[in-house]
Amino acid sequence: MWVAFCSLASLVAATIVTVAASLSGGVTIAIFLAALMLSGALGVACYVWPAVRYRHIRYCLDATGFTIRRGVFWRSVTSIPKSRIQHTDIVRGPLQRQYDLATLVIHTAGTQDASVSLSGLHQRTAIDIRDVLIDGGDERGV
Amino acid sequence: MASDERRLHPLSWVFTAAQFIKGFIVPALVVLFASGGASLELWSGVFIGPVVMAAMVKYVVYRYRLAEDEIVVRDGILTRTERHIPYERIQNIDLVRNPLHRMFKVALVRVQTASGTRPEAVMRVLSLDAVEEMRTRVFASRTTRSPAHDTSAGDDTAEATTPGQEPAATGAARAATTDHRERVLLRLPAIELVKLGIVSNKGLIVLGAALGLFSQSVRWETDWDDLIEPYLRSAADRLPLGPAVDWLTASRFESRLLTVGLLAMIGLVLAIILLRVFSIGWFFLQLHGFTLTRRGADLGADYGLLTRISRTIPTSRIQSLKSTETPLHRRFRRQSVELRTVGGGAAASTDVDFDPGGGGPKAESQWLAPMIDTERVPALLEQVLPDTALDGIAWEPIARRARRRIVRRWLMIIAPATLLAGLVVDPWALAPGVAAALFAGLHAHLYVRHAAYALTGWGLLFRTGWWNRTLTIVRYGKIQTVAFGESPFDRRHGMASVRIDTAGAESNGHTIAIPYLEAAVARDVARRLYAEAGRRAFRWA
Repeated sequence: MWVAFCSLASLVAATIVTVAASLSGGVTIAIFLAALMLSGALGVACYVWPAVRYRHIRYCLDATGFTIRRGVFWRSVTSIPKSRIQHTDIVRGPLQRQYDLATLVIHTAGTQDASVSLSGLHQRTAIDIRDVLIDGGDERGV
Repeated sequence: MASDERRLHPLSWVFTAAQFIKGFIVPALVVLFASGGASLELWSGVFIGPVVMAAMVKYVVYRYRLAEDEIVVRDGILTRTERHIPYERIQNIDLVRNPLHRMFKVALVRVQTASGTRPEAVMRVLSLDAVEEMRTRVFASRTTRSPAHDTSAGDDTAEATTPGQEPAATGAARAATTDHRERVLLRLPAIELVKLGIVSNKGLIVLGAALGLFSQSVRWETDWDDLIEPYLRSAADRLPLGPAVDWLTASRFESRLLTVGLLAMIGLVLAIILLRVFSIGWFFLQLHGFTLTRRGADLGADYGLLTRISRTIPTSRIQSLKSTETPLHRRFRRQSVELRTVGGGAAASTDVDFDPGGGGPKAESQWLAPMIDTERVPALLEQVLPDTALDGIAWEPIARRARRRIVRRWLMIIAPATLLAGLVVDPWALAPGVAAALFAGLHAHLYVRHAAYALTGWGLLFRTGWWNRTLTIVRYGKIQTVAFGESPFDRRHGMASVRIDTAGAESNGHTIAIPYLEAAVARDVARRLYAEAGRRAFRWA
């Protein structure tokens, strides 16, 4: 579902590129065709890319905390111990609401990772994760 | 309850007004000169009068109260605010005393919490007795907390005792943290400041400030050449450069070139010496009489020649430590140790109510020891953080294969440029390229040899660099997140990196990122760090 949402967005982008190319490159047919092909390739890439990206996103909830693994070329595994979570947000835009999706944002006291977000979760899942993560918050120092 | 309320020092309006005027002094002077010196009475009426009035009103309105476990600050006439600051949440109590403050035996007090960017309360100004009272109250509240609470502070104090030690040691450790006598950990004599000035580049800042002041003190419409040329000319007349210049113009081209080169070199050397002198001067102003003390679980740092700053830092608030060692440091057998807390970092440098020059936490680092004998560093750290022990650390190297990767990356840049230069310009142009390639090899070798990390019982250590060497220390309890990263290049070589994030690591280098690890090792390190961090609660307090 998230793939559908992403590819929808990228198709829109591809169309815009095509239109823009046809407007600017309207001088000769050759340039126009080249632009069309380029945007076509871009469109296909846009269609494939979200699926690839989606396949590389994994999260894991364990007793210690929450771990997010993501990235196709540059891969990263970010682990946030439960006790380091300051607060969490669940953000839902109009499109996400359409597809019953949500973004989970985890805030820590850190600097670079002051907020870590994971989008494309089912709303129910996001709420469940949130509840597990902020459970037992009383034992924290602050 | 109301009877407990205190006011600022009766003279505080002087300082408030002075602070306000200081913010406007430059534009005010410009206007004053531009208007051809309007009458002083007019000025005091229009400008200073209202300011003094406002300052007096501030004095009347501003009250604070030292309650059982919090400071209550009330302020404002129309919009009234009442702010409660629990003692437990207070990160630092900083004192700033410029010569004026010292004349009246008062101090500007900043109460800082972890909320980050600005002090929770700025009290301009309090008498020294009032400051002492406030400090005692805040400290007292810390010691009366139950011992159970102390033990649960896990990562900070209690874990100093290894299982093998006697319970007596635990008692001693607790006594050490509750001991309220002041112990001097470090005192910097003047000679150390001179050394510090020599090893650092702070002279550039002074030079920049001087240039800025110069450009500001000159009227806008001034023609710069007109202004500078007479100076230069008179300088040339006065200095024995005249004959040299004559000779320069008279002599042949080649020798002229040589002389110009020589003069330029002399100029460069002079400039470097001048910068170092500036640098020494800067540190004399900033850090004169630097004293690091420990009282209970709090560190105190006092420094400054004209404006004296005294800062209180609870040791448990230290997020990370970093020691730096340049080749010049090594020449003197010294290191510079900085610490990082939250709420006193770079973000705090933003102007706090018209306070651009009023001292306090600036973007500059918080010194634990600006200059310290390398051999004394472990002892100092042990005194600062009782749970850290720097001896017997099992350092782990990064992947040795990384050398080839580093060299290859350098060659990608060097080789094409060299070949191009060699083919197009001159075969001799290959020489610098070859030298650069050799240097790349040397650099890679030394870099890999000096980079190392260690996971101890209490935290993560990482040292890096072979020319300028740094050692960063983060306790597990202060790790916020752990990130394992693989770039495409990493994956081709089966390597990975591990990065941790801490609070208050605004500037680079105060967090740890270990590059070029074998992938399996990196995965293991990340897992262990995650587990260690997860086992400990993070406490601001």
